[in-house]
Amino acid sequence: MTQPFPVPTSPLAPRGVHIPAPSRDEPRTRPRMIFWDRIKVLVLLSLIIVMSAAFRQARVPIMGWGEAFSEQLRAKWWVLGLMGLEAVRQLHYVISEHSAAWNLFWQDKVFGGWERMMSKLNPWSRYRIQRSVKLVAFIGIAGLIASYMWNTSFVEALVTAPTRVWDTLFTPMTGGLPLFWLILLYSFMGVFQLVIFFGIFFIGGIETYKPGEIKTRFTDVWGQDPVLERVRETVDFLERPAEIEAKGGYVPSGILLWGPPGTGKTLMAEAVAGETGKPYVFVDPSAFIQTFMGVAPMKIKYMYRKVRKLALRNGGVVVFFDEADALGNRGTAGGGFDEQASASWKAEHRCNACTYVDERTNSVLWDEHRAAFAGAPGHEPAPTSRRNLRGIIMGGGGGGGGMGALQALLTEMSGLNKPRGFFSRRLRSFMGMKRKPPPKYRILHIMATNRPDTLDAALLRPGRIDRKYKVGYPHVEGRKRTFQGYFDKIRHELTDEQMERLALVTPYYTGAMVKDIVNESVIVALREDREIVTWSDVLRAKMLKRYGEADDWKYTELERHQVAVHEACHAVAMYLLRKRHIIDVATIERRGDVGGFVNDIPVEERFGEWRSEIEIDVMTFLASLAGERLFFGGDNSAGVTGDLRSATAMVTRMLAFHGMGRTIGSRLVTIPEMTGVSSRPSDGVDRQFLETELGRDVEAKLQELLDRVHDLLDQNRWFVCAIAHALEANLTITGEDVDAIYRGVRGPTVDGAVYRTDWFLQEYGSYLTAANEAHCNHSPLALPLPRVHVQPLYQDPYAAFRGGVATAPPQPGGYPPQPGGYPGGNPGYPSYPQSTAGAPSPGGQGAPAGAGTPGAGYDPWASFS
Amino acid sequence: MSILRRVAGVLALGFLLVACASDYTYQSHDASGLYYRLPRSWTALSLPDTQTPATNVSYLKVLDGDRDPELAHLDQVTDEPVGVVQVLTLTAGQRDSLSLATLRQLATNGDGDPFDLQDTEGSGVVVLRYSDLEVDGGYKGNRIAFSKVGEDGVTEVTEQLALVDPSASQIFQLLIRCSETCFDEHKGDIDVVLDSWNVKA
Repeated sequence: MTQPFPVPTSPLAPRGVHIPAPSRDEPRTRPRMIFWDRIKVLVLLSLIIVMSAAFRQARVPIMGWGEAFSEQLRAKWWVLGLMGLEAVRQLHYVISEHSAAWNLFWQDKVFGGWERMMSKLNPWSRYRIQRSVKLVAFIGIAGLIASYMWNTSFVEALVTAPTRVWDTLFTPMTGGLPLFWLILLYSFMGVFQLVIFFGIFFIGGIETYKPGEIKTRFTDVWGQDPVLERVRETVDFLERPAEIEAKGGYVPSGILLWGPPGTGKTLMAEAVAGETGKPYVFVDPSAFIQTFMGVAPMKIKYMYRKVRKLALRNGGVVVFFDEADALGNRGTAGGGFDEQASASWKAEHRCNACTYVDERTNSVLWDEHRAAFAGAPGHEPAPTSRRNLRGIIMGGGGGGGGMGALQALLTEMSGLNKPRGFFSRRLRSFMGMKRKPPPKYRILHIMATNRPDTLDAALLRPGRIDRKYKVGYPHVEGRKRTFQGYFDKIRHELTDEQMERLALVTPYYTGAMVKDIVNESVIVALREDREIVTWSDVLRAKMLKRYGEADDWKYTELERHQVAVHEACHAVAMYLLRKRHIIDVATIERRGDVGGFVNDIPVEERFGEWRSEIEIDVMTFLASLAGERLFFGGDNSAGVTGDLRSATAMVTRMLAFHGMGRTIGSRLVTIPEMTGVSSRPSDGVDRQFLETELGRDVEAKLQELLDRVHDLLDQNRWFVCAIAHALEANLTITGEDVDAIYRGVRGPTVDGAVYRTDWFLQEYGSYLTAANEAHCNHSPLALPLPRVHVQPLYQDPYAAFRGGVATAPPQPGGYPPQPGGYPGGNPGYPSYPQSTAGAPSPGGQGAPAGAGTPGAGYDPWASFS
Repeated sequence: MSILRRVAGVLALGFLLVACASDYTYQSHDASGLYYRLPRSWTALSLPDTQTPATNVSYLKVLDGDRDPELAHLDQVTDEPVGVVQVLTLTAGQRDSLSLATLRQLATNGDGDPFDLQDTEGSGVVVLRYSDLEVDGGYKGNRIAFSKVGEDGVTEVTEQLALVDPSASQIFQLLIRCSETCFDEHKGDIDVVLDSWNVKA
């Protein structure tokens, strides 16, 4: 089989390297015109003569038709001239249709040479020259018409034109206008009114910046280095398009930056504006929605006219759509950025198993997955496109996007790419010049959104948006860099270690949140008339920002104890079991419906979860139930409701979806969902579930894990009591305090050594007994909380959130501060419990090795068991 | 050969045929509807800007049958026909005093009605022909031809057509004159002009 076009081989090309074939050659001779096209101009010019003769004959009835023609031919000599030129042009075409040499000479040497010469100019000069030529042509034609109408010379017509126009426009009219001009005037007025009316809506929404007007640079964007590198690369392509175009590629036309709010998408785009040498157009999509019908598409087209002009003039342009979901959707998808749902979706596909199957199977699998999740609570209906398996969920529906604005946007972004302008489209063709290829506008679109799932699939296709980058939460190093960046702008005394620690305890913090914390730290310091921000200020700011203000609520003595025990159980389970986390804060201060909470933070940001880890998570939830039953004679409060719900859900997912139970079949695959018939209970409760084998397995697993955490707490009663006391005394303690209690060393708020003394064992033992009696008898608590006085190592960061309990003076006979500090010193941070999971009881199995281990004979269980 | 090509060929041929030169040229004043025909050898001259006529003259052409046409011929008794075609716009006062005699007076350039001059001894004016005119559209007027013997004894013949529009706001005048010999000699051409002169309502 012969190749229609020979593929050239380069002597320099290595063997096996494909060299792209040149573009398909155009025919060597001009394509033959149909006869009508050949004579249509002549016919048109002849018609001008005929019409003129008819007009003349009507005015002078004594004139014969022949005489009228004869007269008009003489009078309109220029028409004859044009007919002569047209005849020459057609002759040229006829020769070009038959002679390849003639045709190639004109196309390559004459017209082609001109094109080559123009292409060597830089975009700015080329644009200016083209505009100048058009302007001169316009003036020339206008001058000719004016000189003909005013019966003057060409030069005089041009010179007197301003005066004549001025006089015409601003001199009172002496007579009525002819009907033709009246019709034209009224039509113009009608259009003009519309233009004025709709013109109001064209104001705003588009801001153009010239290079150098924005001062933000890539170095101002912290914590998003990988994405920033890719964006920088794309902008480089726009700056030097020849590099990629010479190799047969093209400049990427669009970037989507998606991710949670505050992660720096807009800042990144702003940095592009600051770095690029091209104009930068900022588009506010809100100006394109909720407008009068038809205004938004017109505005889009108007905007792109402007953008294309900028691109031609400057060789490229960057267009940034902030909050692109407002414009780029066809309907509503509801809700805000659902990181939770997104995470769940990703968790199901974390190994990207679909890579191993063919496209069709992949599609079927995705449809089933979508169907299953469509019925799951907390999940938005997912899309059908397989594209979504690669990262982004699309939306559906209709009617959004500003009444056709999206469609206009799609068309303008990559519609039919055709030559524009009268000269390129008509005049070149009329003159028989080689068809001019559509101009390369080189428009780089950058879109930012936190709702990528609502963006239209057509908008995201390659050619429109070529690159999609998730601008996610910065990793710990990124957060550290971001903290450093913002702290560098203020006066502070934070050490590098504290900066690291801060980055560690602020997972999922965005750049905006980091900036907010730094700002809040400044405010906290200012409130106390200090100019230098301290570590304490930062912790207080973080506490305030993360958890908000506590309610002005005071528990009864007994209820405070109950809540403290509940949270202490969570804290103990977390501390002893969740070794990849550190406790951030434990509190029994009420915030709305939450009586208290223990919050921990992952030390390592990990991607996957294992059965053992999920079991620990479940045990952490179940610790409250186990602890309440353990310390209150088998009784438990309704406060465990949320914990049990979470634990049950997690176990169900383990057994039903993750293959962590006795069976491995995924319950995500169900017959009703596969057939598209959903049978969800109307009240949202699946009463049959617990009667199923799976339900029974879930219950058994929960029981097993409850027993395990019960044993753990039972073996660590002392630890629970110590934390409960610390919480009761201080209301809020930090993770470092929990660690200090365990190690028996001094923490920021509490002194862990206190809890290893006989005083504590005796006093708290009595208090515990009294509290248990009060609980069982439903009577007031007879004994007060045993008091201790601790001089904090540094200013208590949570003092502002605490009542007066911690600042109470030491009770008579209470534990006196030890001179010379405490054994073990301040624990390094982050640190993990030194024990293994299970039994970290002091002096017993799993007791922490090293610092803080009580001496021989220390047996707290005698009092607490 | 396709039908289209044949049609195009016929059109082109017809175009060339009808483009053959005519024996006459045609003049018209579109605003007033006036039109007339001139032999090709005649010339219709316009006044230069320096001799701009009165503002009530909306159209004015000087006709000259001479090979070397000049405006000066209008003031001479020539051996080639000369003439004037003009459209005059009347004022309200002029309309009140308008009569057929007024039209006749135009032919003597204000010297008087040719009939009155004929009765005046020594004027040398003899009315040769006279008739009233009425053309389509309600235009009315008269046609008069008279001779006048000049001081040098040469007889000059003048023939005038004058019309008034139905609203009596415009006067249309065609005047041709030359020596008696000339008038006889160019009778055919002069009649062509006089017969073609008309106003389209």
